[in-house]
Formats: sequence, C-alpha cells, structure tokens
Amino acid sequence: MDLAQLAAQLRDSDPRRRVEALRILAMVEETRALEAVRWLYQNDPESGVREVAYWAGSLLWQAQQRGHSTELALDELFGRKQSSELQEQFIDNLSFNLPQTKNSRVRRFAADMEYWERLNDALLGKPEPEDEPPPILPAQLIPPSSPSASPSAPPADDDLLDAGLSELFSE
Amino acid sequence: MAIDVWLQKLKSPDPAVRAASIRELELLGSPEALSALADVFATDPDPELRTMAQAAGKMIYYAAIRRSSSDPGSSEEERQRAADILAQARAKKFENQRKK
Repeated sequence: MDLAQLAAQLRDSDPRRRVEALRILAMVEETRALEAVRWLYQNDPESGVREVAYWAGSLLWQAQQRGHSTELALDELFGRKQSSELQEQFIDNLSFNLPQTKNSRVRRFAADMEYWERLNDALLGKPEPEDEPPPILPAQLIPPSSPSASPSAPPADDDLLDAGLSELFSE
Repeated sequence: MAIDVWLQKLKSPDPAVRAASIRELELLGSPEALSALADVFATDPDPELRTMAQAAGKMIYYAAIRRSSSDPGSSEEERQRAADILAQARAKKFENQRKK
C-alpha cells in the first residue's frame, strides 16, 4: 500500500473506506497527503468523514510543523539521499575501533552495520518520557460500524471544529 | 487473509495480547495490517499501544514504499519473453521424452 493507493481510497464511494484511508494516513504521518486531507475536510458530503479528516489533518499538520516529512523519514530509514560528506562525517564519528583497517570497504560495511543497529534501536526502543502519546480519536468520531456513530449522523460535539486548529484548513 | 490470527488478537481485551500482536504484525510486515493498526492508533484506550501501533504502521508503510520503488515489476514484454522461454523448454522436454 502506498500513497497512490491511499489517495484513490480517499475517493472511494464508501465513507468507511475513506475513513480507513484517513486513519492510515494519520498513523503513518503521510505529510504528502495534507492537501488531499484538507480538501476532504472541506468537501466531503459525510460529516463523519469530514471530522475524521479534521483529526487526521491536525496530526499531519503537527507532524509537518515539527519537521517531519515522509521523504525525510524514508531517506533517514533507507539512506537513499545521504550526501557523501554526511556519510564521511558519520563514519568519522562512529565508535568503531577500526583505525588500522586500511580497507575502506570494510570500514564502510562496519559503519553501515552500526548505523542500522542504531536506527533499529531508535525505531524500536521505547519513546522518551517527554514524548506525548498520539492523541486518541474522540469517541464521537469513531465511524460508522456502530449504529450510534453513523457517518451521516450529526457530530455529537458541535464545538469540536472550533478547538483552535480549524484555521489550518481555511487558509 | 493470512494475518487474521493477529488481527483477531488486536481485539483482545488484554492489552498485553494486543501489544504482542502489534509487535508480531510489525515483524510480518504485511501492508494488509495497516488498517487494523490504524484502528488501534485511533481508538485504543492505552496510549502506549497507540504509540506502538503508530511505530509499527510506519515501519510497514515505509518498507512497502521502498519495495514498490525498488521493484518496478516486469514489463509485459519481459513476461511474454519469459513465457516463450518456458514454452520452448517444455516443448524440448516433451520432445526428449518422446525420443526415449
């Protein structure tokens, strides 16, 4: 599943499928979808979908504000666009005890191994205490399988969209 | 769906079972799990599990993007050529068997 598939799912005729795509986009912080999510927030015929779009858009916007982007995350994860200068600097800073090793390919391989280990630790380790847990989707926005939360039902909280972030979508 | 067992475990009332399922789904790496993980991310009452689901979902999503960008798949021409080679090999094998 990639961005093109999720974007297509945002146009699905089934509102539950649109909500599903919005939740995935919010989870993976797919900042490239921010405009599409904004469009859905402003134009979707279902109020339930619009409100999930608002929730997802807020999370994507917050991610973007703290400097996250999908491209950067991919680059960091898979190292596709690291400049040679950065790579050299990174290798120099590594704690490997390989100064006697003349073979630069061996040094680079060892550096790569440590890089992946560190990256793995960073990705799989527990979050720092100061990290905020991701905000929960408000119960009234949980769509549409339960009869009490039909996507066409009016929002339970009329003030939800005045929580301070709606200007993000009105620019 | 091949990952149904883990998706069912995500609905367990026991947070430890849900946590184990998230970890295992991340290891499996199937993009089919993204929707269920997004459900946990959006609605689970346990903040730690929401964070776990997000981390797992990101890893699966990014890996899927990488796979799709590094493996453009074979073209129609390449598939046809492969089918021709297989057909020729099969014919040759059949011919050899007939001679025996």
